[in-house]
Amino acid sequence: MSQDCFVLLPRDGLSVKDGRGWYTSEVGRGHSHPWPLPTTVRGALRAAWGQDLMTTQPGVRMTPAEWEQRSAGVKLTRFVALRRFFAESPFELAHRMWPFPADAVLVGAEKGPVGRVEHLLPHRPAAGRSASTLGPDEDSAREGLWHPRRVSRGKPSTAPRFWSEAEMVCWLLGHDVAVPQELSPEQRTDLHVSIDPSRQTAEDSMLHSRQVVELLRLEREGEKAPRAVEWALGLCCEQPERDAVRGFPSGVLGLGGRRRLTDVERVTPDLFACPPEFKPKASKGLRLVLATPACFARGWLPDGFARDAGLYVGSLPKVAGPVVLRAALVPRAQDVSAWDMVKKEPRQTRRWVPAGAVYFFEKQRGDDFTAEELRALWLASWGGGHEEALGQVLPGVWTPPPASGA
Amino acid sequence: MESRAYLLQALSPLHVGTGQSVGVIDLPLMRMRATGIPIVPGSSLKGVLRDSRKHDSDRARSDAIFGPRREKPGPEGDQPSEYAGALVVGDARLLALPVRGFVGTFALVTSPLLLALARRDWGGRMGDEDVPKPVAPLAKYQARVASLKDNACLYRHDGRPRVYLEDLDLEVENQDDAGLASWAEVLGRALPSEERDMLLRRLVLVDDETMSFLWETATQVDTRVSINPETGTAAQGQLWTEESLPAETLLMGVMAATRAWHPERKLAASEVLSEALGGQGTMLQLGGKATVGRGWCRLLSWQSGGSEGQR
Repeated sequence: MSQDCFVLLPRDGLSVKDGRGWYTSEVGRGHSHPWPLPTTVRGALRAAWGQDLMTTQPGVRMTPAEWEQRSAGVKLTRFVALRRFFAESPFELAHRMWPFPADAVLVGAEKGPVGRVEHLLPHRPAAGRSASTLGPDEDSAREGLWHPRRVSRGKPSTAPRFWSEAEMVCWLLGHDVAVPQELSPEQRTDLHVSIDPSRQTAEDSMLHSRQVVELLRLEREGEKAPRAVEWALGLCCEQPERDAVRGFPSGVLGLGGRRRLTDVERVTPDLFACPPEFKPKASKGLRLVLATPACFARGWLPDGFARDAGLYVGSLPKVAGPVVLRAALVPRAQDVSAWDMVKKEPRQTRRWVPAGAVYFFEKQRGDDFTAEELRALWLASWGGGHEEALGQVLPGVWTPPPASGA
Repeated sequence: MESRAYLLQALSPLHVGTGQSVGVIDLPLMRMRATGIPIVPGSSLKGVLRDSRKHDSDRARSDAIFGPRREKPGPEGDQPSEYAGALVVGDARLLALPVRGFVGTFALVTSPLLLALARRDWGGRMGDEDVPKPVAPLAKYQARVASLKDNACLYRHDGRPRVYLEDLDLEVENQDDAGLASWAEVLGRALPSEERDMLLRRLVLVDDETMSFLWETATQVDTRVSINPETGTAAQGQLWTEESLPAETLLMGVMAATRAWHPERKLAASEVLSEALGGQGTMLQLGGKATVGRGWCRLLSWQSGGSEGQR
């Protein structure tokens, strides 16, 4: 199966509209996801692939239904955020950006805006002291999950959306990380109005706004001159074996709302590899940080895990033997709506575990997670939606606290 | 998708605004938020291009290029379309800003960042040999020109060349910049033949920090007032300021197209682009304040140099 790896560089920003309608407020307003979803990018690739196929194979004309069916083999296998100085050297591992993990807390200093990054670590529930859940089932397993606890009382600050490769590798190895810079793409709101061609004046009820995520910004360090920084989407995709198009994608791509123009820069699969600096030692505990959103059949609970004697026990890709889920730090679920271009109607809404969620595990037999297992988990796929690069994980080490009296 | 770069040359002050502001200027220009670079959104240009063809008898052809028309305003008009328009118009970004100078009336000022953005817009769309190389970076508050001999905006102080841009007095490197000269030459190819040496004579390269100061402060700001017809005096509470890009501003953008999806009008991507770009130097009125002469622009493109991927 051939794999095409490239980087998408949106020229004019992106507006990837979320599920909220235009008419939920007095003025029509299009809300954008703060970062494009993998499913949006795959949709754009499927559209581009169909156009390329029809161009390279004269006489081939697909109906929307055929297009939908034949392009199903276009799969997104990697999806990472990238950030580099504008028009710098080719993209490399150091340019990767990862979602801020849910087990990190930015804590404000006594004086000044932000003081430190604190680990949010799960602790064993104290027997008989926790409140019971009111869930209809699996209460014992949920009660058995460990609870995250902070070690200080400082006030948490707003976390950035992303942090850098160096910071993430450091964090996964269990080290402390300095306070990250605010490294998130900015958003602006564009106002639009329709002009009535016969009167050349604004048309009634056609004033609307749209959020745009900008991927180019000027950043300044101290007194130095500002430098332009660009954000991009790094991805790998597979094409259908029978209909592979050479040189895909050709030309610019239209991405997100209003098909914003996006340049394409070729890269190699090495851009998605496990970094050489990530050299973990064998560890009693494992943390899995979601690098892309995950789609699990039972909401927050990972696929393949079931209740077993008051614990959630299951298996993980690339890991030998059963593991016990000790804790799950899951931010608010991500609701994803989409449009069916064939039926011309909305698709079923999906709920994903957002990128940045963190799950903690121990092996059921008490063994260590080996260094090989940990490295093999780098961007392994977990849960459903593999064709949309969902559920790709970053492995981290964790030292479970000893049981009381141990 | 096939794509081509285009150039917008403002012939009168160009006001493409955001509608309102809480700042000092009541009607500011639209800008990229994170960089402050003034832009003309692609949606604005696309609407104007479409409107310029409203008298065409072949409505289907126009719809094939620009997309099906909305039949009704508001929520009732939100019907799924049978096909999409073939044309995508990218935003036009500032490329060179005319700035007042004590010598030479005005300079067309640009910076390494603006040229690097333009270079990417050209990348793959013109033959490699046609794309000028990136210019070397500049120290803070420094400037360079393509030709010390030909540039109309220089003056010499103690034998050293300088330029005055608004109230900035910048030292100019005492040698010609061959890289900038090739930019002036290639950009000039899009302009009418009688204006081609304008860039060689007026283009001044400044560092990005100075440029960002200029695109914030060297735009045209007009104060206007409504006159009460009853009294012939200024109407109460109707004094406002509006910002424009001055005449002679150059902006650069990209247009892209697929083949047309209209069931009756089959157009190749290259036809769609040629149709959208029109004849060389198509005159358009963009942005607001049309009735007071704002927004007259020339839409230009490079005749030589092809397009990229054919889809």
